[in-house]
Amino acid sequence: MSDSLVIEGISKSFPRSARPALDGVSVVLGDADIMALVGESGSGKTTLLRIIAGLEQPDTGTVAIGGELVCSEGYSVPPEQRHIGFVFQDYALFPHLSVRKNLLYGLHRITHRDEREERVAEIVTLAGLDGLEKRFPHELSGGQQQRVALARALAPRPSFILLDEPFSNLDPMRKDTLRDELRRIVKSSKTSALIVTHDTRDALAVADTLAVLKEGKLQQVGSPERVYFHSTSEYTASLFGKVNRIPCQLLEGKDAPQGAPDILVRPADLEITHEVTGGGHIVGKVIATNFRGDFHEVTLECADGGAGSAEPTRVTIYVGANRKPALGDTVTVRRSRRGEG
Amino acid sequence: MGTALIALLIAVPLAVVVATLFDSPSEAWREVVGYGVLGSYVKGTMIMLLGTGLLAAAFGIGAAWVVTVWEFPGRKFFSLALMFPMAIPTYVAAYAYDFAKHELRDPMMLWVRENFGAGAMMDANIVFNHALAISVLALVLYPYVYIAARIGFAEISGAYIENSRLLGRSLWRSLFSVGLPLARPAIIGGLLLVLLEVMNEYGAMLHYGIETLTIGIFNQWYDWEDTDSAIRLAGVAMLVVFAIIIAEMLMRGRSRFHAHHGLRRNLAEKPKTVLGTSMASGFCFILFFFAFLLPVWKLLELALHGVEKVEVGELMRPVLGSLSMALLAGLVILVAALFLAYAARIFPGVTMRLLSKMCMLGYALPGAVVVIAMLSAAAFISGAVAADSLTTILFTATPIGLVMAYAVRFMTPALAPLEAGMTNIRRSMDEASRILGRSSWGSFFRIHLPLLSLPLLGALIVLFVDILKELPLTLVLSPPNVETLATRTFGLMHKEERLAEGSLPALILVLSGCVGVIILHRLIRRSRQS
Repeated sequence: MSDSLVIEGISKSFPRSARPALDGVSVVLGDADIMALVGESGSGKTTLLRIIAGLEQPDTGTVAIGGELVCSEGYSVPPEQRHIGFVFQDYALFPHLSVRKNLLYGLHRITHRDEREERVAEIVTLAGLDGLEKRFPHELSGGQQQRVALARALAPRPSFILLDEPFSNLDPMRKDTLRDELRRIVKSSKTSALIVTHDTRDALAVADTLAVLKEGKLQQVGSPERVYFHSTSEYTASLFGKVNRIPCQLLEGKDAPQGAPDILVRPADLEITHEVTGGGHIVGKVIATNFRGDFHEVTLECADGGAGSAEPTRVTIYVGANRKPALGDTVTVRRSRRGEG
Repeated sequence: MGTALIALLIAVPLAVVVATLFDSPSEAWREVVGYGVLGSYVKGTMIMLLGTGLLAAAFGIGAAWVVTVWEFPGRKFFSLALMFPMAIPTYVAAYAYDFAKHELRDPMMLWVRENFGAGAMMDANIVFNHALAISVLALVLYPYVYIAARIGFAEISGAYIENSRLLGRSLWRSLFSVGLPLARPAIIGGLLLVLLEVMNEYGAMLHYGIETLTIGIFNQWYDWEDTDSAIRLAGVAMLVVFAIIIAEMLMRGRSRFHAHHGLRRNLAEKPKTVLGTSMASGFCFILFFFAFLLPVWKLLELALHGVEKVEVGELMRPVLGSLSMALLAGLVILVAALFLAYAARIFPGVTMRLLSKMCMLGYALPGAVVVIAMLSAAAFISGAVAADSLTTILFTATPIGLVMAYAVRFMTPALAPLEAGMTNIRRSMDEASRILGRSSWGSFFRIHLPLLSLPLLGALIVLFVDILKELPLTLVLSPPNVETLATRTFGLMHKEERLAEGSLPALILVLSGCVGVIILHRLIRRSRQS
């Protein structure tokens, strides 16, 4: 089976903009795969989505959907013929149409009325919209609106669906539930999906594959675990959460790497230890502790190990609520077992 | 392409006017300038602009202020009722105030003649006519300022006024220091409409014998059959209009930040004393009395006198004429405006914006200028292609020319709400519709048209009332077999001085205007709630 979506070497510049919005981006979306495209605002992720949908034209590069070329230099299939689904950031539900009519809107190619109704019934069940068919968009909660938008995109059985910041308009209290719900619906429809988001927590939770975009360039593609724990760049590492940059000269012990300038390590990968033998460890003084709910975030100031570095190095670690060290304590920290490898 | 065509319809007549301005002046024009005729037209226009502008601003801002700030008995009624005077066509108001001539002017003039002599009386008469004309026009035109100022106080600066009060300033000081400056651009926008109406005015000026550029254009064209001078006067009138528009833009300056409307806030408080309460209700009542109750009462009185002379069948002709012209032209303009608005949406760009601005220009032009421009353009084209019949086809045999002229003049009231309505439809709607497999015209009929139903209805009502009231264009360009309420009113009341009979069609005009105002008010309220 061919991949749902193959894009190759997409570049796009906007007039009056110093750097290109997209610079030679290539991505493959596998069948029934959910991929999250992550990046800060201005990284070009929405532009990429709009190019795939045919709402913008790239300067160079090609887009193929289900093995069929839909966009290359001087050739572009209009959006209405690409047969894809799109969930807009604002959902774009037609305010004058009921939920049922919104769902029917994209089904005009099905000539038999019964078939159309059957498909609507199917998708209503899949998206958990039973009983809401007669409501109008403004009579729905944010989560319900999102489900309608998703159902409307899925109804015509598209090759794949694109979702533009689908979580940005949701109530933070219910976001996690709704996110899991969205993943369930997409997975059970067996449609592949490309989700654009700036929230890395959403991306980690919802996607099978992550693609990181920075200033129009693709940084890294891989599984969420891989991208999180084995970031290929400091940018990617810091995008997904706090990361410590530790000069290697600070590391003590026999296994401490020599010669390398710095290592990057996540707070969750560090733990307080009492054995100073074995792997590389660091010693520092506790200068701040912040309660974060499930854990304490502890900041250490490490002694200037080598000559020459002007600033003392600060290292952040997370410790359990009942094991909080006191301010001014001197503690030894080493990489936890999970972090190794 | 279609947009360019519509813009062309407006551009060609104007181009003819502008081109004539640069021709070497004819003998007749030299006389118009040399004998001071041009000077007196310009002077009359300026006096009317200045006087009406100031008075309408005072009435409008004052009324908006009172209704915004004070909670008094009848406030809700007045806040709507103070818009009603705009339902009275200016020329109808002038005839309704005809009694002032006999009951006020004549005794005053006699007194002046006895005390200061006949010469002084002549001067006093002119002053009186100007003053009366200014007052009558200001009384029916102030609602433009009133509506703009209300929006300015309650919606644009409402939140800021509340903030200012939280910072410890009184409501009155807050209104002066925050409300007025923030509402200023909106108020000036309302004032602009008043001034353009004054430039356009024909019937009332004729009634009070005031020489303005609009009057001058018709004088030269009809009485002197001096086409060249009429076109040149139209050019001068255009220059005055442009000067007004530029002045408005300069006065607005960079203060465009008001454009997004906030929530409507209720700022009103109960006056602290009984005197305050009675002053607030008193001001509103006096304004409403002179601007609406009195003229309508006078018309009713006249109509009761003349009612036995009127045959119902006789009255049906202008009613049907008005209805059919307003509906026909209204629909044509609406379709054209819809087309323009949607074209501007699917092809965004400077050219389209320019073309749509161009189509809106006609609204600023006095009807007399549009008349002259269209007639001379038709004559020019007829001459160029040697087809004498063009003028006949357009203006004598069919109402096509009149509909075109209405389109030139009233594209703005149709286009502006539709464009605003279009911007309220988010782009993602269009894109969602396209991605779900609909063509752009398919999307238009399924998404945009239904979502625009409120602004469409609003535009249709404004068009309907505007066309119903319109006098100079209809007077000149309607084919001989078409009579409207406006031309019938004018014909009876002005030409034949049969005020009693003319007051009946006039009352129908006022009534339909009132219905229009009420429906519009409801529509705006509804669109705000949704």
